[in-house]
Amino acid sequence: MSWYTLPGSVPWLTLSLVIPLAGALLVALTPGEVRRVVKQLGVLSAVVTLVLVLAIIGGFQHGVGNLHLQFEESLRWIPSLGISYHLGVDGLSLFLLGLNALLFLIAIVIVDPQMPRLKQFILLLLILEAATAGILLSLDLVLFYVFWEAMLVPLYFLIGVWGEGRRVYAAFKFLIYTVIGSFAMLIAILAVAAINFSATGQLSFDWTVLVQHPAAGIWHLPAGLGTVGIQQLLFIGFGLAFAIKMPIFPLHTWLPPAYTSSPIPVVIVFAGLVSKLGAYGFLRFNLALFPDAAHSLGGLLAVLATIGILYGAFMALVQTDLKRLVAYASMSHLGFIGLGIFAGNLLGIEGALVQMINHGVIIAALFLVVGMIERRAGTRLRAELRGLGATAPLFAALFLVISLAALGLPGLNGFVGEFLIMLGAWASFIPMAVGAGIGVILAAWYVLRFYQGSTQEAPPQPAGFGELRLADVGILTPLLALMVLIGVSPGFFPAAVDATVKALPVLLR
Amino acid sequence: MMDTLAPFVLIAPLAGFLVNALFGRLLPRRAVAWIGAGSVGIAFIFSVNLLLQLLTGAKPLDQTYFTWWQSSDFNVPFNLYVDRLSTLMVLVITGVGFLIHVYSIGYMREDPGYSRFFAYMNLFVFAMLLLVLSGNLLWLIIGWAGVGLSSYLLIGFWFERTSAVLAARKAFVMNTIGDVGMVFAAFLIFLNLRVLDYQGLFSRVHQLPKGGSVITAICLLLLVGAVAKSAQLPLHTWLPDAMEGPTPVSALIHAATMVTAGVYLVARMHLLYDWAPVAAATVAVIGGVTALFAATIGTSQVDIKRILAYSTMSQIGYMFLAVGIGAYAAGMFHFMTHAFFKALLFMAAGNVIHAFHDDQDIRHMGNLRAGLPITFWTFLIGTLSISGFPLLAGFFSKDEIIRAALSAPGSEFWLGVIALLTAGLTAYYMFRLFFIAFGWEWLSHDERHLHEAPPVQTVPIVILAVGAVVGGYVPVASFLSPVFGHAVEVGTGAFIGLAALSVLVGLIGFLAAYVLHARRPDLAVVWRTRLGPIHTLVEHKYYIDELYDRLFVRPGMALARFLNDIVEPRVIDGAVNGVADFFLLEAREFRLIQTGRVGTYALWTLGGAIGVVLVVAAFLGYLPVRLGG
Amino acid sequence: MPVPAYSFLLLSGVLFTMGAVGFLLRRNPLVVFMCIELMLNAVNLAFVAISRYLNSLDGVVFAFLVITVAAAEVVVGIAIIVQVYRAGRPMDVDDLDLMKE
Repeated sequence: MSWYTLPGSVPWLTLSLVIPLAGALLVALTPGEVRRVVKQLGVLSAVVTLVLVLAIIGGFQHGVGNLHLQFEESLRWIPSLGISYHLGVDGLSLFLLGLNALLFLIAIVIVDPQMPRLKQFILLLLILEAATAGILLSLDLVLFYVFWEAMLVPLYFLIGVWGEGRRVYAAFKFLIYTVIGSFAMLIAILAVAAINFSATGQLSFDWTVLVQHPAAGIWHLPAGLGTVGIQQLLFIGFGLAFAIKMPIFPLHTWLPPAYTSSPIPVVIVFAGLVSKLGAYGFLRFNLALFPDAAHSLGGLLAVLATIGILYGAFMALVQTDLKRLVAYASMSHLGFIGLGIFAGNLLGIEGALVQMINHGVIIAALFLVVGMIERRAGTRLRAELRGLGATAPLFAALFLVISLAALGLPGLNGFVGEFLIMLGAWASFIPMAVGAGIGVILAAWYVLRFYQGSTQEAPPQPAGFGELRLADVGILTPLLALMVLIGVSPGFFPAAVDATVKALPVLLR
Repeated sequence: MMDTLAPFVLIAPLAGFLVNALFGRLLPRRAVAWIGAGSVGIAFIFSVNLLLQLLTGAKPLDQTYFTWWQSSDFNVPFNLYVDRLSTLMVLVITGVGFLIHVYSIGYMREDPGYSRFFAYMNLFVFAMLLLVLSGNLLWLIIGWAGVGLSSYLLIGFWFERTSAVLAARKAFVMNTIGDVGMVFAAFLIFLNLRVLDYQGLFSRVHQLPKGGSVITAICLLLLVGAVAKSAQLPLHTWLPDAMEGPTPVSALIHAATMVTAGVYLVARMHLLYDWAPVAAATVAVIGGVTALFAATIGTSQVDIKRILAYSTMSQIGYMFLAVGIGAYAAGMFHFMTHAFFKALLFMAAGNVIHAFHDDQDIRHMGNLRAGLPITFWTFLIGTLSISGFPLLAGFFSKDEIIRAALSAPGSEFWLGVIALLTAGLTAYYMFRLFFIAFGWEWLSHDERHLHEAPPVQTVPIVILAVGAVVGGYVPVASFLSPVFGHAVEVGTGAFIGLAALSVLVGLIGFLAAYVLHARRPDLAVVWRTRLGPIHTLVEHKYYIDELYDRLFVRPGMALARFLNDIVEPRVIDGAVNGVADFFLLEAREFRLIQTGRVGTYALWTLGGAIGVVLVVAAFLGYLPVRLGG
Repeated sequence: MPVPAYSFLLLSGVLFTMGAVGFLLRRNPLVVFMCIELMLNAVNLAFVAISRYLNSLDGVVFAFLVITVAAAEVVVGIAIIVQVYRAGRPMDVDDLDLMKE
């Protein structure tokens, strides 16, 4: 499925990294007082990036390329250590790349031009965009690690400087959590390269080299540590970083303060995208490099994911702060993604992949809605909100569609992912699928409490909640369109990702 | 021809929904009404066309339009399946639906949410048609959830009322339970048979062992969905609350069409239920018990719409009973006649409620013949029909069910007895409603100045009244025989005997109502006190709402609060912060090393360097102490 | 007659010890600085001597590196000392303990 072929001589993927950085540079060179220009430069670079990424998605061909990777670029970086600048895109990363570009555009568009230190804010957002895109595109473990760490820095400042409430506490907690995971991953990366070196005599951090080896069986080292084999240890090393980022229960306690403290543009990319990078990491590294460990540890992780679904749902039921409510809803939905991944079968993983996109779209929209409520009503406490729909019917209508997508109504996008994930889970572990089903019922409960509690019943007097402006509708429109499109006709999705997923080592073993 | 025609049945209401939803507030009310009702009318014309083609010998249609998801053998198309069963459903949905839409033009004329109302109604018709026409389970589920959604929207239509909001949420959550059950059934079907479309499913279902655990589980999970949607025990509590919605909604969704989706589902999957006798028996028992259960509650309520809601539950119980014992055609027959007389009863009740300025308590009504003549007479026809008055529609369809149950071999006989008993109760509570609300002493003069509804509201009712009278003569069983096979012929003697029996039972119910509520109301009071606790139990709907509240809602919220107040801050985050505190404590002691003086640091450095040298020397064997290998 | 390698190492060791003892005992920052230089040069001497002894240039390369680092270090160090002096702090390394905690 490809509508055209992009010329191969252009480094398309590098461009998609460079454009946000170039935008950041331009913003840096612009004096901070000309706020309009600063913001427009940010929007412009995000738009160009989005157009470029859409062109890449359009030019992606089904089932073509070495390991189904396309637009590959490889440059020598530190050849003596086998480290290279190696980029490529396949079914795992393709649509996430699009989500990345879309969410960053929305985040920059909704930035208030009058906010303090606007220039630095936009600058950091653009750098963050390049870093997250780099994570999705890297095919070299060291390069991946560099981008992975590079993502932390702008995020830390975006929360710590522009946040609200206990923002420093939140940013610090997030940082400490993440760094612990990162170190475990760094050790695992070095160990993978070392093991590969001792087995093949070739030092390489290249994913395309390492991923060949599960088939060759070099991970079958003598399991000298009792039941825990080396492969499991490496799996845990990578998994810790990704599990914290997702997050998987019980490693989630950084999430509510971090999401609640983040300003809305940040939380959109944070919840919408960054959390998905953990799930992406599981697919790209854990399931591809350590398929046996994925099978042996998958059951445990599926249990944790299911606990996360139910735990997040119950927590969302009693939250009084809407932002915190959405944060726990996000956690519950991420449990679905985890469940699909650890089900370890084709439909579960494809469901998880499509749900990653869906979750990004839905959570971003929910946080946008929370932001709109807060800006107009001056509060986001559930107890103080009611009857917003009486004076803002359009807002209520769009909010309704988003809520329905969030609770997984068949016909909208959330259902597609949840259906496939639960089907995959049912094939592997039936009790987990049943648990997820209970999570779906709870989702209906807490989402409707959220929606009805804020938009319905008699409005307080005087009802001063303003209707949406055209700009607000424009921001929500692409997200709503994706909800309906993926919900009604998601056929394009498997057509693009099927080949990659089927070739994942975890499915072949 | 049918393959291009079938999508238009869907597209018409969808287009109506989109236009009214997107531009409804800009359009004049007349246009909104025309679009809303007209789109359903167009769909009806298309479906009549489908019927004509099927009658003139066209084959059932199974046409794929696009692929929903294709990955390995998980191949889900969007396909439509048009056979006689779905055509019957489509005809009733669009036909009765059209009449209710026309009625709504009048009924809702003063409501500020006019366009929103018609948009929701069109959305409902679209989703219901999708449910019925879908050719695979996945799109059935999508339609299934779509009707649930529009039901939710319409129950909560007057969203400024707290009770409506809560009722809507309750309906949605309970229906989600059913949806999850259906989804799980789809999983089992796919994982065992590798198909989700009907044709493949029906051709492969016999690969499963008959009566085995897999097919039984599939059918029971499907039943969860059917029970939730059709408000059968034990997932019935949302339906009476759903009467918070506008009355046309109750007529269309909560009486004529949506709540019968469960019956359609079982009938559609009849090959599966034939293959799983235990599950089929469960369907029949649930239906029979619900029929009796709801009828008893119906005898004690005072809200006119709630009485009709319990009546609906009870009548759907009949249909479940029918499809559960394999009398599929009888179930569908009763579905059709029920759609006529129940929609009629609701719409007539709507006229009464309007006349009494939204008061729904039957004790405040009475003597309506002079004020609301058309409503009065049509309501009487509906009451007679539902009570099984000879030669009216309800008589034929209900008798067919009772007959099928009584003549079935084995223990279904007892279900037939329950059905017969329920028939008596039905006559009782319907005439109780009629006598109290519409009155027995037919006054010729009335100083309350009640106004009869305008023709736009009465004409649809009259049309339905015709249906409630003559609907029994539609040969549904022979029409559906290509789908279900031919029904067992019953001898004329048995037919007349059973008919006489059921008429007798109905007569007893009527006489009881007449005596207690028309002639000797004092006796009713006496009996109420005599039955004391039983009456309270029934009046409070057997306390099932309270039971669920104690069993599920409160423990759920308590658990959530426990997690939020104790587990999250103290246990999980407590562990995390505990680790942090531990390091902080240790660090406080190690911090003493940092004196800030260069000399101290240099001494440490020197000591470290000497230490390294010593270790290396020991390794290399220059020292008497040996380290390593 | 070639001078034996161990005599260079001996000298290097003596110089290093002088530097280290001076670094630990003296309090004037400038003298401390000179002691550091003494230690670095002691190491340089050892590098060059061993390099000559082994007929390899590796040690010489290291010595150059050390010289460069030492030069850079002097620049930074002297600058800090000057700043401390300007701030009016006493010229005593034991009193300069602002980095405590």
